[in-house]
Amino acid sequence: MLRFLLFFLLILCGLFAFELTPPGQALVLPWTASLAGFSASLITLLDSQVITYGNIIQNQTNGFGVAIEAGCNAVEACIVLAAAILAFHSPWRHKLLGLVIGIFVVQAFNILRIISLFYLGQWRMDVFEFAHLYLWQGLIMLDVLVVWLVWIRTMPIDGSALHGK
Amino acid sequence: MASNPLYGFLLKVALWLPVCLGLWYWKAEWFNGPAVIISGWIMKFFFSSWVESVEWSQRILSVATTLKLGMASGMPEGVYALVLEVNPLTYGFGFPIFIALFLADSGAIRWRKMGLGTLLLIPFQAWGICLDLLKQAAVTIGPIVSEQTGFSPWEIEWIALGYQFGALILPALAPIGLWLALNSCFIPMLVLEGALRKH
Repeated sequence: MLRFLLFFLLILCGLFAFELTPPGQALVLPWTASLAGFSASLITLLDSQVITYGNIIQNQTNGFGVAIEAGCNAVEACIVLAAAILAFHSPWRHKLLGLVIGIFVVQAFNILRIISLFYLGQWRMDVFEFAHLYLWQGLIMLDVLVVWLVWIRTMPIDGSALHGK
Repeated sequence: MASNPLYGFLLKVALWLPVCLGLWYWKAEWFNGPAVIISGWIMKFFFSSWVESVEWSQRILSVATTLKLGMASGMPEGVYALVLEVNPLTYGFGFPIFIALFLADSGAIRWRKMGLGTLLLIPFQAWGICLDLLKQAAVTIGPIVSEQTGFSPWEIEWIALGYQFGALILPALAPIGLWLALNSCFIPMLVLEGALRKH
């Protein structure tokens, strides 16, 4: 437990500090813009009034727009998941699988957050504020927890170790 | 569902979370009060040279300072002092997550651990509130105010980093981390259950 906690905090702080440096931002900013673009392209499948520029998704009819900022791109959630997977004692193959599938699931969930917030904001601003500031913030990290717990549960275990041989 | 206790647990979390979140938001003044009070004490104790008073009303924490604002064109002649404002709820939504996780756990609810976890969450929320206020004074408002705080360039860097960590990572990670720490048998049991299912 102590070993896990130590490694988890080290990896978490290292990745988070890297994210804030210029090389980290050189990766995060294009990712955020492409996330906005991809979310908008999904929205336009059903709603042709939506445009995107940079990290902003906007409805041309009513002018409402959302900007995907730090904290909205789920990069921090992916960092937490990566730290939790890397710090947990398990085979490297399983770690790699967990990272790839886990980050994909977290980002897919985040796209759902972006799209839902975009429409909530056009419906009612107070509901948007609640969902944006509190509900989705918690749900994204719970999503990380779910992915991590499922990953742990599917971890391959040596059968002989289980039978105490 | 009975064959997979993890999914049963997650379903209970999903059911408890809206209840806990709704109650926490409805009675936000109660649940966020302790962290707000502690943040006020910290600000007044460590930054007494420029923090004048602290007020908590309408879900907003206001800190009146002696820091003088610069004059902008069109502003009436006079001396303007800075008032910092923060929404403490943005750093406190971990509380309902923590309670929902505890209530969803199938074992007997351990009230002492829940109480302990609730107390341990307060410093994390206070961290977010204080660093938000400091970030506003040291970075956001501009160099005229920043110079009056007396922070060195390195201290400003640490404030910015601490603020980012306190805003983007801690509020949601702290309740989950505390819940796992207070339920240290949960993960080994999950590993064992997963392994038994396969063999």
